[in-house]
Amino acid sequence: MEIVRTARNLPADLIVIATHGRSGLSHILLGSVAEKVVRKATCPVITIRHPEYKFEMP
Amino acid sequence: MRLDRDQRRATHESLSVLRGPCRLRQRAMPFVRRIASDGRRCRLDAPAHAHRQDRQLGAPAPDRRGPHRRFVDGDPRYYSAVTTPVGTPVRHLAYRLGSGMIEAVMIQIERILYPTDFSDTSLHALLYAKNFAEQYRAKLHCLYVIDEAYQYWMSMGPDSVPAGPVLPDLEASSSTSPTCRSRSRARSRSAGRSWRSCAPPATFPPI
Repeated sequence: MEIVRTARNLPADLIVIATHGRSGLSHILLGSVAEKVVRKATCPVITIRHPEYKFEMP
Repeated sequence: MRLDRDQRRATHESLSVLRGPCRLRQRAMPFVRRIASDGRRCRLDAPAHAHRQDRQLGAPAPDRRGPHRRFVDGDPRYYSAVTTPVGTPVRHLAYRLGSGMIEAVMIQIERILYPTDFSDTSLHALLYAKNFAEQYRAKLHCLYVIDEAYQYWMSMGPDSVPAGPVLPDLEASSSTSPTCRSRSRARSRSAGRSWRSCAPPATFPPI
């Protein structure tokens, strides 16, 4: 994955990434990028949510 | 009991971490020195350059033959304290050296990666990334990954996915970026192939 690879090659000390850039059908098709980054990155990751993003119970 | 080669190398590597070019080394050295003089915890005092390092910093060399030393050579308790790969920053040693290091070692964030897809949500995250970069005096790297699958779905029709930026727009927006230290990195997995040239398939792939 490009983001994780770039973070490892820089090497970055922190990743700031937004969650839920896409939604609906494309979210299902493409998956959550931020979730994969959090799972696979070697450095700390800060995820930022949009303040107007409506909360959905998982 | 003698050291085998791997144990010796591990001790040597952990020392070379502390000798490496790290700005925090001097702040960490009192703790390292304390642990090195505390012979029962680790063998930081084993190779000769450890003493040289201590003398440079004005501390007496630890007494390696003192009565406080209870464990014999080859005891794994010697080596478990500080054994990290070469190149590890000193701050990563904190959790290995104990809670005393946490006061001495400040985390140092030099590079912040900010992956973006130019949506409103990621613009909101830029606010945080910019503020972190200013507070830590870090370099902010912006990254936009051109997802060929995304462009492929986009080529199916304007209603399939929301519109994303294309490469000329990215280059224009990177030159007029409001953050002064940001560096835009537009990457494509295959630069020569344009997504516009690939024809949409006759049938949808199974989801």
